[in-house]
Amino acid sequence: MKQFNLNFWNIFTSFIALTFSVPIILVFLSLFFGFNDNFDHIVNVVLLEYSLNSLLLVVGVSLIVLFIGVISALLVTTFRFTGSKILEWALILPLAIPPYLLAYVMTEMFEYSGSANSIFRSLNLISEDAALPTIRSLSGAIIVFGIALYPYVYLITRVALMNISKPILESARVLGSNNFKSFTKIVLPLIRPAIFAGLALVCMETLSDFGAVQHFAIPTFTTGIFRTWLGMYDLITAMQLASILLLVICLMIFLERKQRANAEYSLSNDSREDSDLIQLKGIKNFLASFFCLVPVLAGFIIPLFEIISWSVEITNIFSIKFIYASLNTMLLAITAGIITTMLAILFNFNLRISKSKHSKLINDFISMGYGVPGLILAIGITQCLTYFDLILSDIGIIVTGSLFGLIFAYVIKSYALTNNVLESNYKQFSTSIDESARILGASKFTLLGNIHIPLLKTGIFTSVLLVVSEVVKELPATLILRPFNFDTLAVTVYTYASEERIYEAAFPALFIILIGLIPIYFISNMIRSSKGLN
Amino acid sequence: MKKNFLNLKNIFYEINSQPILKNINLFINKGEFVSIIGKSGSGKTTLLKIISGLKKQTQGEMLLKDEILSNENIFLEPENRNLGLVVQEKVLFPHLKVLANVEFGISKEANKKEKAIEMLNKFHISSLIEKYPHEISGGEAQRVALARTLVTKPKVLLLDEPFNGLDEELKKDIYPDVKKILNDNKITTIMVSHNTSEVKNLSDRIFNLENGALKEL
Repeated sequence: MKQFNLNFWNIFTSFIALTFSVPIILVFLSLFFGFNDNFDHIVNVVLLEYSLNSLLLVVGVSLIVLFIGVISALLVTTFRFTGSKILEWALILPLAIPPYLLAYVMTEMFEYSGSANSIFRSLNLISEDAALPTIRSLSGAIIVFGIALYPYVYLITRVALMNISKPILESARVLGSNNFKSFTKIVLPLIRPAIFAGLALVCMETLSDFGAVQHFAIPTFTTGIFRTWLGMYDLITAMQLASILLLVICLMIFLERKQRANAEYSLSNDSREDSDLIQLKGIKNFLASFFCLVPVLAGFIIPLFEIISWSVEITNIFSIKFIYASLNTMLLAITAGIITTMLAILFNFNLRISKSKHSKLINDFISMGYGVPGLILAIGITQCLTYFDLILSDIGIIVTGSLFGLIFAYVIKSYALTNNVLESNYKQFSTSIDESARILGASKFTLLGNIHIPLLKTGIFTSVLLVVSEVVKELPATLILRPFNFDTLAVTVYTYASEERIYEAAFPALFIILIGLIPIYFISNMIRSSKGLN
Repeated sequence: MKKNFLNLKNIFYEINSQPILKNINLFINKGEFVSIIGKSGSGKTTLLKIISGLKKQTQGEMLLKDEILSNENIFLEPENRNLGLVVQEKVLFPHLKVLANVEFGISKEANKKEKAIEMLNKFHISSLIEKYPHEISGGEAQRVALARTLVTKPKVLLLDEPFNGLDEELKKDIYPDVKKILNDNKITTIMVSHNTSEVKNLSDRIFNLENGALKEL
């Protein structure tokens, strides 16, 4: 690795990194603005409740995702059973449904007149005037998050299991280990970093969520921040609360990155093949299929059919509101996708040609934006835009309430996705191509435009699609930063759910799920063809 | 030397009706070093995996002394055979330090630490005990793998191109250590390799595996 040089590329990437960090720095700076009465009130009255609920939520969700994610990954990677070929990718499907959408669906299903109660009544499992327990509770939220988020643990654990070298397992057997000892002494320690990396991601997502906990009326840190800002109109206190949450999230990001780095040492090219899978028979075969099928049913198939059944109730499918929301969403998503991808190309190009440690650090730093909760990002960006407009007060309000802030938030949150795709794409062609081009007289711009971009075109397309699917699902930042009267699909679903007009949310919700399936296609392809997911 | 320590009788192995090994008969004496050479894909590694119990032959019988390792009705699992297998791939457990790797196969024995260090000393690598596999060189890793296997006092040592990928200078350092330890402990060894000079250096007898059949050279 070389030292940092002052040239166009390095100055440009450093400037972008600084711009990315301004909203976060502003949130942290709020801790130095002094604490007002609202903050004292929150600390004395509700902070304990926020903290306790957030903690219970994280612990409960962690237990569920570990149980479902790790066991299902072990089953599909070690055994062959009825439906295992389909279930190995179907287990990722719940990722297409964001937790807030699953929360809306589950709430509706478990209402007194909802489909779950109707089915139980028709099967005489409960009496006509009885109802199943309501899902709108802390335990209900734990179940919803657990079902929606277990694929993170499943995916990372599965890749780690697939990457355990076959000769290592054979060595353990020849050295006298039976299957149980091989599992506890070799397999489990090797996949432990991957499990913790997945778990850290789940904890980040749970703590960052706003839509689901707000719908379930559970006072957590995010709902508290939202209430403080838009209920008490106290942005500074909201930022101070956000700083506390952000510190916890930073710890999670640190743990996730550290564990992921630890997991890499176990990667191997001698991974197990299909012929190494153990065929299950009889009751074991049934139990394995059943265990893997339940989360797919609960997290994807049943919610999907429930939403389809709502859409049947709607007469005006393509309402003006839906069409506008779809167009707005696609406009935002494609713009954010193109900008984020362009930035990732420039950063990765600079890293490749400069081979500088600083460039790598900058790239790693801005990739951490994925972990910052949308709500906190929105608060930081709002403050940032307010300062910007204050500086230019003679001209008027330019950026506050414009699409700029929203796209800025999307770019920060999605950068890691595009970076991962382009980084792995770049690794596929040798640096000697660059050297040949430079020797033949190509400038850096020619090298990028005429050599790299044509070679990266599949990666560029993939990364735009991944950002689109991420942006379509995003709720809290969109809710806060969108211009007045500018609805997206996620906001439309949120509004209908808040107004108890859930059937009307069917089509926007289906559209979100459909676009959410895009990354699943790429992820399942990556698992099959390579081990690059880590 | 005691005759017929390891007996392989009429071993056949096929995958999807394609014969890989045909009627292999091999009788090895106690303490003997036998090498098998052959082209890539000739079935050398498959034969070692069958002997170690990681694969089961389609037909035939294998005996160690007078104990049946495997035939049509009996199959002794690899962990119960007390054989050693060293392969060319990186097989050190990456989450365990060198010492813990060497202790792995003797975890239930008394004085396991002393035994492990003694074996590492024989390969002149006892200074590595606190290091993780990714912190040591390829040559050192291969010595650790040999030490880890030999410390279990295997009845038969199976070597699958164990020195592949090491440079010639390093091989010259390792060969005498390996040969001395094997001779001192009278360990019966089967090595597969495509490197004829390596084979000549170490072996008592050499076989060629071609078209699924063994022929002594």
